[in-house]
Amino acid sequence: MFLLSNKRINYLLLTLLILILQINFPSIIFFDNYKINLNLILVYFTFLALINGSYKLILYAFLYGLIQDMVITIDQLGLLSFITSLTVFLLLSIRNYDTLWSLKMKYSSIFLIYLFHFLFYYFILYNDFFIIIFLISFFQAFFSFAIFFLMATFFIKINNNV
Amino acid sequence: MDFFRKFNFNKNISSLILTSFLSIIIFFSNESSSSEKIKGFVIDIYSVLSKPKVLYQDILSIKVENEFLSKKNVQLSLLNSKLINYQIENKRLRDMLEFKNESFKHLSLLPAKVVNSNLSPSIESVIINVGSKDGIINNLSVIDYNGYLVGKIIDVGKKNSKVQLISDNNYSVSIKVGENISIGQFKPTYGNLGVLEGIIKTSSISTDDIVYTSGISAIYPSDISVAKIINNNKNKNKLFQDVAVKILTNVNHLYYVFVIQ
Repeated sequence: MFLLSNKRINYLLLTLLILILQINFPSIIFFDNYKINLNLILVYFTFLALINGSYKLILYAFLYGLIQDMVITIDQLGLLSFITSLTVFLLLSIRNYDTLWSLKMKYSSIFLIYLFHFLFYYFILYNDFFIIIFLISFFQAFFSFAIFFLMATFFIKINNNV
Repeated sequence: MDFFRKFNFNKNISSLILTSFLSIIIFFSNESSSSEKIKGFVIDIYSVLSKPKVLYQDILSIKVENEFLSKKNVQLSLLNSKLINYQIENKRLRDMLEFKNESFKHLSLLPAKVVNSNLSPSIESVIINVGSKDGIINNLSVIDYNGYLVGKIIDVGKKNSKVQLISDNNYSVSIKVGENISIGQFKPTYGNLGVLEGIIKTSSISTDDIVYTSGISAIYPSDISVAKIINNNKNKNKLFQDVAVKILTNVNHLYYVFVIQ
């Protein structure tokens, strides 16, 4: 029981640390004033989904999305929370294919989920041409995936059960 | 028992359905007073968490800002002397025309720092570090240091507020433009572009004309610069002109703004 609560406290502290890092991390100017930022929280959720795989992650993702909704959006309160929980649901679904998919297949799925997430995300946040939204989403997904890939390669090994 | 086994098996799907349902409820209770209070509270907490970023941005930008402000100071001094001359000239002309003295209310400006929203880069809103403690209420207009319209206050926390930016696609403002002061409506379209609606064909407007707030609405004082005309067409089949404009303020580089009280 003591160990369990210790683990929870560690998770809570780590989440808070990543949230503070996410908020305070500088944005990268992409082109013509368009900015992208490294989505550390999404990468963190990906690791938790692949390692832990608890359904509770969907609820935590919902809460994080709700915070984003309240800070960023104007009239679309609830949309970012929906997208974030949907994205985490999709990430959790990868575990269903743990013994079927190779590591490459899992990585491809993660990248596509990221791309889907950011496309949906920027359609809500930006009122711009589709090509611009697509480019921003693509590079945002690419950078987020790059962080995930580096972390997965050097620090937290993802199981390849095939 | 079977139900519970199925429920356990589909925990992920159940959680997704639950969160989707909650999202829909939240989506439709956007305007409720409790939601406004929670938003204000979250904005206050967010700005506390983002203090390190504000601090290092201040340190990084202080030299550039100082140079810019020095230049601006010189420009404003020159402009001020010019305006003093204009004032004298204006007074003389008014006296000549026997104008009655009008009571002119000076606008009160409250400076505020933008707490950059790094949860995601957004062109919908920014958070500023003044709130209800500073006398901020909803629907106050916000301008940048050039005097260009930035947006209006939509959510107020104790120490922080959220500003709906001029580039948000739900935004619109009543404007005036041209020599014969045509009244219309500004609406943003893509990026930093927008359109003017309701500009009649007879009004003489041209490229590079500045669009100002009309002062008709209760929210915005008149004569705040909003946008610059980049293109206008008179279509025979339409009642009004098609006017494309470029937003003057740079919504992606807002560091300091002023709230008009």
